[in-house]
Order: sequence, then C-alpha cells, then structure tokens
Amino acid sequence: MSYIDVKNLKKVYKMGEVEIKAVDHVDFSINKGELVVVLGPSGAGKTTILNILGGMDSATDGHVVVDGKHVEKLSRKELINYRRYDIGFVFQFYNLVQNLTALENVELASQICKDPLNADEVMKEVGLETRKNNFPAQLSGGEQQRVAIARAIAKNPKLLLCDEPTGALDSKTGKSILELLQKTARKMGMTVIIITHNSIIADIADKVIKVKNGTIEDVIINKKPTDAKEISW
Amino acid sequence: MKLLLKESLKKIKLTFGRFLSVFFIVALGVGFFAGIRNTSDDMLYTASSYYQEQNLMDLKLVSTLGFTDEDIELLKAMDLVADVEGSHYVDCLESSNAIRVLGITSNINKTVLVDGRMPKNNNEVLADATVYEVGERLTLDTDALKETKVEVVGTIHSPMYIQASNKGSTQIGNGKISGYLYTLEENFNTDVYTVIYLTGKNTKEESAYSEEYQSALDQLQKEVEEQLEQLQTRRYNEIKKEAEEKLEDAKKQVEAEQEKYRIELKSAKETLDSNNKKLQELDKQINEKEKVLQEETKKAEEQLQEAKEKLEQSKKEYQTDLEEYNTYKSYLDFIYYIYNYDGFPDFSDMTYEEIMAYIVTLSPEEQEKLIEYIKNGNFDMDVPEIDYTDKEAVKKYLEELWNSESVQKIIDQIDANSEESILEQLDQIFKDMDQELDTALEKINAAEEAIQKQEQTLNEKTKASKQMLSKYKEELQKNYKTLEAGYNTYYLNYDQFEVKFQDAYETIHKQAIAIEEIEKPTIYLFDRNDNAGYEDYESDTTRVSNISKVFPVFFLLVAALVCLNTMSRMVEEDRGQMGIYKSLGFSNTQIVLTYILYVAFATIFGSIVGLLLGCTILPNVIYNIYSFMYVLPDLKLDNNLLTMCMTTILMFIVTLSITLYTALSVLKETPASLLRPKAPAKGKKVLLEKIGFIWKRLNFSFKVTTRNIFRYKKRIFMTIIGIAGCTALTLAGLGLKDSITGIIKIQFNDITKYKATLVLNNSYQQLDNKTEQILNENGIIDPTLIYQELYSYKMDNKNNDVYLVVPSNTEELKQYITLRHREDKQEVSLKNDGAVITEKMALNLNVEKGDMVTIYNPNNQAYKIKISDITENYAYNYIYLTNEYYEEVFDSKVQYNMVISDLDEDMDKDTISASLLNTDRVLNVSFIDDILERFNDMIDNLNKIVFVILICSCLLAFIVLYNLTTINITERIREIATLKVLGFHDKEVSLYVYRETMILTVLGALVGLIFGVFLHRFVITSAEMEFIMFQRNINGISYVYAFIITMIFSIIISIFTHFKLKKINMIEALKSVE
Repeated sequence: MSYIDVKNLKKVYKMGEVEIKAVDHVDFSINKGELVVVLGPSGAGKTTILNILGGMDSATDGHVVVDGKHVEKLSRKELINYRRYDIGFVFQFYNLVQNLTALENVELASQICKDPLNADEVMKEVGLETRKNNFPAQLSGGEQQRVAIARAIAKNPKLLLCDEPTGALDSKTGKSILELLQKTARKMGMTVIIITHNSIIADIADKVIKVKNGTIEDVIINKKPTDAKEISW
Repeated sequence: MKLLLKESLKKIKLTFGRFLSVFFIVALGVGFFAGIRNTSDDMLYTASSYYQEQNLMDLKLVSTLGFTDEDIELLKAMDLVADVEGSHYVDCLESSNAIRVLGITSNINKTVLVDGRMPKNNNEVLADATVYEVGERLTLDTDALKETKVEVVGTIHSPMYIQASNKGSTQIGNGKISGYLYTLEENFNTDVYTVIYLTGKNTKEESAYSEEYQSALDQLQKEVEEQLEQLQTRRYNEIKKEAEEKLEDAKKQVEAEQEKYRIELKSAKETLDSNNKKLQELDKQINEKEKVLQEETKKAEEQLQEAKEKLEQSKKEYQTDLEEYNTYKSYLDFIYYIYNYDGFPDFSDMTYEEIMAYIVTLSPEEQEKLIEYIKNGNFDMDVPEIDYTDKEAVKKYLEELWNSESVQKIIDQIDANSEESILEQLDQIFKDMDQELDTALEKINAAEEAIQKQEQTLNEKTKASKQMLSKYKEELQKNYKTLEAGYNTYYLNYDQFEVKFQDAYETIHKQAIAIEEIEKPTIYLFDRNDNAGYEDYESDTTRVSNISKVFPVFFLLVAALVCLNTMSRMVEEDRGQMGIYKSLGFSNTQIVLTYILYVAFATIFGSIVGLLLGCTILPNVIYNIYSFMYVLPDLKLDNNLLTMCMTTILMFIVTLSITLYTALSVLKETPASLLRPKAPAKGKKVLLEKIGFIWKRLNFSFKVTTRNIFRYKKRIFMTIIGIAGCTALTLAGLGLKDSITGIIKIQFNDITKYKATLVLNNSYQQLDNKTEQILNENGIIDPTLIYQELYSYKMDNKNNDVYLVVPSNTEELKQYITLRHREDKQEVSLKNDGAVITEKMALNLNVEKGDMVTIYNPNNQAYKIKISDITENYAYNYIYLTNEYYEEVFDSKVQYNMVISDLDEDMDKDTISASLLNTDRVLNVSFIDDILERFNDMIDNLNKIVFVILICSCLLAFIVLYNLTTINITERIREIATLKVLGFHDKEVSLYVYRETMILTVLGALVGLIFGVFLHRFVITSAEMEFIMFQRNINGISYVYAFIITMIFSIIISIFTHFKLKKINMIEALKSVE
C-alpha cells in the first residue's frame, strides 16, 4: 500500500440539471517523500484532484487514502483536522494574511498544530530571516510565496500541496521556489505534490501524473529527476 | 443604455445580498421615518374623518331654560352655521351606575350601529357598545323619560365618546358616567330641547384638531356668541310669555269658573231674590190689602164716625138747639117776665132801648125790685151781686143781659113793624122752634138707627177680611222660611266659593311672582373639547408625533450611514470590473450610471417597500395600541405624499451622492491601474506593539484582532457609529420608559400623598365640626382644607393650565404635598413673600427663583406673582401660596373650597363617592387612584410605543450589525478561506472574524450609551407635554439593558455569521482573482 492511494476517483459537479464530470476514474498512488507533479492543461481536473486530496473538496466516488486515512470518508470536522494537521497548502496567489507580518503568517499556521516547526527556523529555512517582520505588502512576489511555503511547512504536514506555486512568478523566482520545494521534499522527506500546466517543471518530479479531461493520461516515474536549479522556461 | 440596464440587473443578481441589504436598510429607514411621522397624521385623519362622517358637532349649547324650535331657527339663519339640531339628554342611575341617556339625533353626532338595530319605540334603546350587549334590559331611575324600563336593541359607537375609559363626569352616583344610551327623542318628557348641537359651514371641510379648524371654530364661536344675548332674551321673553299666558289661561279659567259659579250663585240669588220679591210683593199686597181693608174699615169707621159725629152734631145741634130753645125759652120767659113786670108801664110796644132807657131812669129801689124780680124769676141766669145803688153797674148788667146773644137772637126775630105784637111773634117763634126740634129729633133717631146698622155691617166685614189676611200671612210666613233656607244655602255656597277662589287667586299670584322671578337663561357654549376623550386623543397623537420628531431622524441617519458604507464598499470592490469597462472604451458616465441604476433600484424599491410597509404597519401598530383606549373606526391612512417623496428623495440623494463620489474617485484612475487588483490595505503595526511587555503577553489571536481592528479605520468608524446609534436608540427608548414610568412613582408616592380631593359645596374659612364629622363618617380621613382654582399662564401665545393652591394650614399641607428641590431633595417651605411654582412651569416660562410670573384667572384677568422657590413635580402645574401672600396678590380673602385627604382603605371608593355626593356638602370627589390609573393608561400606551420603537431599533441594530459583518466577511473572504484551508476549526474562524466585531460592538455600545444619554434628553424634552415633566435620568439598569440588548444582537449576528462562515466555499473563494 502506497502512502497515498487514489482509486477510481470521481468528481461530478452538478450545475442544475447538467452534470459535469470534473474527474473520472482517476487512479494513482504516491509514496512517502515523493515529489509529484500533476501535469495537465487548464480545466483538466488537476485542481479538483488536489482539492480532494487536501480535504478541501469531497469526492463523488472512489477512494482516497492518505497514510492509511480514508479521506473520502472523513466528516467535515475530521476534514478540518486533516487539513490542520496533515496538509500544507501553497497557492498561486500566496493568500497571505495581509495584516500579519511574514513571521506572524507562519505563526498563524503553526500555532494551531500539534507538532509545528519553529517559525523562526522555518523562516531561516526559506531564506527570509531578515524579512520576517515585514508585512506581505512589503515583500516581493517570490518572497511572499516563500512565506506561503514557510507557513505550509511550519505546520509540519504529511503532505504539501502546491497549486501552481510559480504561476504568478517570473521564471527566475519560480525556479527558486521550485528549488525550495524540492529541497523541502528531499531534506524533510515530505511528500510534495505540485500542480502545474508547465511541463518543464515536471522534470523535477519523482513522479509525473499527466491529467487530461479529468482522467489520468499517464503516470511517469522519473528515476532521475532534474535538479530545480537546472531547469528553465 | 440597454446594456447598462442589463449590466445593473446582472450586478443586482450577482450581489443580491448586498442589494438586499441596501434595499432593506433603505426600506427600514424610510419606512420607519415616514411611518412614524405619518402615524400622528393618520390618527388625526382617522378621527377627523370619523367626526366628519358622523357629522360631529362643532358647538354644543346648553341653556338653563332649555331651547325651542325658534332658537334652532335663529341659529340656522346664521351665516356660518350649517346644521343645527336640538336634542335631549339626562343623567340617571341604572343599578347604581351613573349613565347618560341621549336623544337619537338625525343629522348631527350620528352614531355607528355595531350590532342589532335601531329602536322603534320608547322602550327600545341603543347602547354604548363598550358596555352593553344587545338584549340587555335596563331600568333607568329617572322621571325625565316616559319609558324607563328599556331593552337594548342595538349597540353603537358615538363620535361624542371616543374614549372607552372616560365618558365624562356627572353630578349623580359616583360622579363618573359609566356608559351611555340613545333613546328616541319622543321618550323625553319635556318639550323643550336640553341641548342644541351645531356644526359650522366653515369648519366642515377642516380636519379636526388642525389650526385651520380651530380658527374656523373661533369664528363660528364668535358668531354664535354674538347671537347668545338674543337667544337668551328671546327665550326669556318666550318663557315669560308662555308662563304669563299660562297664568293668564289659568286666571281666565279660574275667572271663568268663578264667573260660572258666580252666575250660578247669582241666578240662585236672583231666584231667591225674585222669590223674595214676590213674597214681599205678596206681603205688600197683603199689607196693602190690609191697609185697604184698614183704610176701608177706617173710612167706614170714619164715615160711621162722621155719621156718628154728624149724629152727635145733630144731637148736639139738637141739644144746642134744645138748649138754645130752652135758653130762648128762658129768655123768652124772661122777656115775657120782664114784659109782664107790673111796675112797668106797658112795654108792649116799647123797644128795647126804650125799656133800657126807662130802667135806667128807675130809682134804685125800683131797680132793686126789678132785679129782685128777675132773681125771683128763677131763670137759669147768673145774677151777680150787684150794688143796685150804683145805677151804672145795674145798667151794665142789664145791658149785658140784654145784649146777650140769645136774647138778641130772639129779639132779632121780632119784627117790630109787624102787625102782630111782639108777644105774638114770640109765641110764633116758639111754636116754630118746637116743630123744628121735633123734626130734628126724629131725624136724629133715624140717623142713630142707620149708624147702628152701618156699624154692624162694618164690623162683620172687617172680621172676614182679617181672617183672610191672617191666612195669607201664614202662607207668606211659610214661604219666607223656605226662602230663608235658600238664602242660607246660597250664603254657604258663596262663602265656599269665596274661599275656593281666594286660594286659586293666591296660587295665581304666587305664579305671577314666580314669573317675575324668572331669570334670563344662562346659555353655556361648549366646543368638542367638552366631549370626553376628544382632547386626550389629540394629546396622545401629539405624544406620538413628538416622539416621531427624534427617533425616525436618527433611524434615517443610521440607515443612510449603512447605505453609504455598503455602496462605497461595492464600488471599491468593483474596481476591476470598472477597469475592464473603461478599457473597453465606456465613458465614465456610462460606467457610473450602472451603479447609479443599481443604487436607484435599491433605494427606490427599498423606499417604496419601506413606505408601503412602514406607512401601513407602523401607524396600525401604534393605532392598535391606542385602540384599546379609544373607540374609533379602523385607521385611515392619510399618507402625506410629500413627506414620503421627500424621504425617498433624501435617501436617494444620500446614496446616490456617495455612490457617485466613490465611483468617480475610483474612475479617476487609469484603466490599467484599475485592472490591477487594488493593493490590499497594508498591514501596519499598531501603537500597542511598541509597548513590548503588553504585546508580548497578548495571545496570538488577540494580536491579530488588535491589528485587524486598526486596519480599516473607516470600518471601525462605521461599525462604532452604527452600533452606537442602535445602542443609543435602545437606551433612549428604555430611558424614555424609565422617565415616564418613574414620574408616576415619585409623583404619586413621594410628592402627592393625599388619596382624595373633594370639591366642597360652599367655601369655608375653617372646616366646621359638622362637616368634618360628615366627611369622617364617609371614609375621609384627616381632611385638610385648601383653596384651589384653575388659572392659566401664557406660553408661546397659548394658554396653559396651572392650579393655584392655598393651604389653610401650611403645616398640614406638608402631610399631603411634598415641596422639595428635585436635585438635592431639600425641603421647600412656603413663605409670605412669594409663591412656590412647579418645575415644569418654571421650565416652560424659563423663569427662576425671584422672577415674576403672570397668571390669568378664568376671566382673563392678569395677576403678577413672585416666585419664591421652585418645587419638584411631574404631573400638572401648581402654584402654592400662603394665604397672606394670596391676600396680598389678589386683594381678597381666601375662600377655601376644597379638601385633600387620606382615605379609609377599608371602604369601597364608589361607596365613599356616592355617599359623599349625597351629603350636599360635596360637589365632586376624585381619587388619586383614578388619576393614577389614567396616568398609567397613558403611560402604558406611551410605553407600548416606546416598545415599538425599541423593536424597530433592534431591527435596525440587527440590520446594521448584519450588514457590517457581511461587509467584513466579503471583504476578507480570501483571508477566511485561507484560514479554513489552514485547518482552522469553524469556531476558530468565526472567532477570528468575530473577535474584532465583538470588540467594536462593545466600543460602539459604550459610545452609544453616551450618545443615548443625549438622545434621551432630547427626546424627553420634545416628547414632554406642557403639563407633564418626565424624569430626567435614566435608571442604571437601563444602561445595562441597552448594552446587553446590543450584545445579544451582536451574538445573534455572530451565530448567523458563524453559519455563513461555515458555508464559505474555500475553493471558490480562493479561485476568484481580484
């Protein structure tokens, strides 16, 4: 049994009479500590998969097992706890709390966890030691994304989910973010899933899951993932 | 343009919640504002149109002598008078309840039939629907009605009695009219009208209670007043004439009767008299007959007598003749003797003279011889003793003898010349004489016989007549007796008649005096204010309108504020959209128009809905509160379109201008900058962070909250203002309730301590023992004599009532009335140098201790009074004076006319009242409890209105809080979604958001409490009436309540928010790109 096991996942959105199948028959598995890239064009259902995986959305059908936990069977409250203790999220638009300093944004997350990482240390880790008392508005996009990542990592989650983390960034900054993520997965042994439409990024992954029209098109195991430093787009 | 409209509609659809919030707040603000504002107008309009429909009188005339149709004609003829109707009323007891029975009028004061039907005859009545039911049978204790056992066949409402609890006062029973009946006019015993109702032409179209009505009424009243004198005189003359005519009739009748009697008596008398006369005549006739008889008898007797006399005469004559004969004979003998004397020559042929001459020549002896001879002759002759010697004396004697008549007579018959001798002649004479004598004797004898016969006849005749007469007389006597009896009866009747008519005339005389004593009637003129409840209704509406002056404005302000907040938020949020339109080449005007349309829709529809609901629900709710007290038809809305439009327009202008302002200021930016999401408000360190030791100790969430609070200054401001407004409204409402309720307790527990007020029949200098005893027996304890009179003072050219009170004993007054300062509760004492006035009056007149005030007596005479102090008082206004100061000001002695007292708690008030009114010492009794009850009623109603306002305030608070929280959430939806994604529990998320709202709510509520104090003060002063002073302070507990109520709403909102937050879809929230 893999660390993450998704079987026959199905998600249908009902828009009145019309049923839209966001994902259908999705099967994949991810091992602990793997850096996975879910690749696919816009509207392919990547985010849906991620949301279900992160406990933000519920599956219509199928199994989603994370570390032996049947996510699809969790209650609302259990889902919150699941997100709280097991999941770290990184978004395209950072979603930092503007009224909190960088450090406080990290603390915001860490204070609710059972076994959080030291916020200061995490800040150091993401290279924002000197900027930690600045407010998000005072930081650049890359820096803000680092804060976002720091916030996610500080929770010490089982799973780090990143939705287009480089989408709003230039390639250089994006690269450094990817570096950070790769480092996190490698160094901390954290399972990291990155969603992107950018196939170049897929090179850094241990496993690439290609999604198209709501179904898995392909799962490629990358024996030798490229170092994030070396990719460019 | 079509596109813009479509865009606006789409915007509404998209942001329907926001649209609704603007819509509702506008609806609430406008609805409440217009609704409350209109309520008093609606109430007045309802009453006014009710009055108009029922043709309520404008004036009522009551006269001490009643009215007749002519009065009505006189009044009808006046220019301003429209309808005039005479009617009756009488107050009477119906099983110990005092009720008023009125005549059913046809045109004025028309009643509304609630149940049943109209009465058809005198034993059927219409009755007060608030008291009676159809089918009830009543017995009325009055003699003014023909039929006193009546049945209620219909129940009604009368426009004269609009207050259920107060139907006016009366002199009978317990002094309060408990209900009224309407009976047919013909059921009243009198033919004069007791009352005249009158309506004016000029007042007809004016709505009641309006100034226009008042001035029209004044005009009408003036006109009618001018006519009063004439009415009085006319009626006086009429009454007098009527009475006089009646008297005249009575007199005539008496006279006629008297005449009849008199005639009867007269004819009786006449009969009697004629009988009498007849009898008398008869009597007379009898008498006459008697007389005739007597006369006849007399005559016969006379004749008889005459005959007798004649006979006697004849006899006498015969006797005389006989005597004469005898004399003659003797003389003849003498002469013969002489002639035969021897001594003489033959004398035969000698004459007498010759003989005489011879005798004289004779010697004395011879003479003596002669005389002797003569003497011897024995002649019946007196021969005197003669001295014969004296020749002369003898001669004389002889001469005398010779010359004696008898001798001469014989001698005369002797004819000396005859051939026969003297002697022969003498013989012849004697012969003749004898014969003559015989015939006479014969005659006499015959006559004597005739007379005897005649006498006998006469006697017989007289006897028969006398017998007849006595028979007549006897009969006459009998008739006389009958007549006398008749006369006696007659006199008896006559005496009776005299007495009888004397009495009658005395009565007439008395009546005549009474007529002289008839006074000109006093005509009292009443307007509608005399109708119980009429004025109260106006003051109640005034109370509503006073309250509506402040609360709704505040409401509108808060609503405008919320609108402003919402719209500015919306424009801010829509900047991207605006950027797109702008970049697509739409003009600023076009873009702005979409928002204007949006806000116009919200405001106009909100206003319309608000107006529709507010102007119907609120007036009805408030009216319903009053409808427990008043008997009036359902509310009629008199919607003032102007107020409504003005409110809408005002609201629209506010929302529009704020939308325009924000939209235009946003549109100043270039499309590019608009397209970029607006940099979120920068995080900032707050001042508190600089105080490290506190900041470090703060819990993380508090840090976040603190920072959030200061993040959006505008929002803080809005929230605090909004919440403060609601708290202030709530506090003002509660405070108003306190102020109103509070006064009752203070006024009737602490200040006014007497339990009853009695108006006495007379004025006293001191209560006499008897009166005091009577009062004591009837449950009046410790009576204190006072003087009380209604005066007035002028405020804004309006007359306001004030009671002038002079205690007979200043110390005793203290027992019943507390005079003290409001602030420090220090006692105020009455002094002889000035008066103590009540606080509200001092406030009304803006006067202080030492100032002078002018008051007016009922005749509008002005008096100046110096204020020596001001005392705490809440209900009505009083001026307290010592009797010394009274005398100084009014220049007259105090006439104490009232008693204030305690009551025997064991006795029933109605009994006390009824028995006191029966003592003829007391004119009126009123109990503090009754006044208290009326105050409680009034205050109950006011409280209910305050309650309505409170509910609306709460609704407002709710909407404001909801709105603010909604804005808060939409504004920070990404942040919230982030928190959720981070795995914050629902509670934690809610707390995160709500913690600051809570703090702001507390802050706002605190600020609101301060606002509230001022608002309350403002409301109090405008809601107060001139004779009522509300308490100025708010009870401590009300602050707590106001605070708690706000908090409760805040909590309710937070529960709502909690669910709303729970429902937030993280994915959607995070997906949307600003």
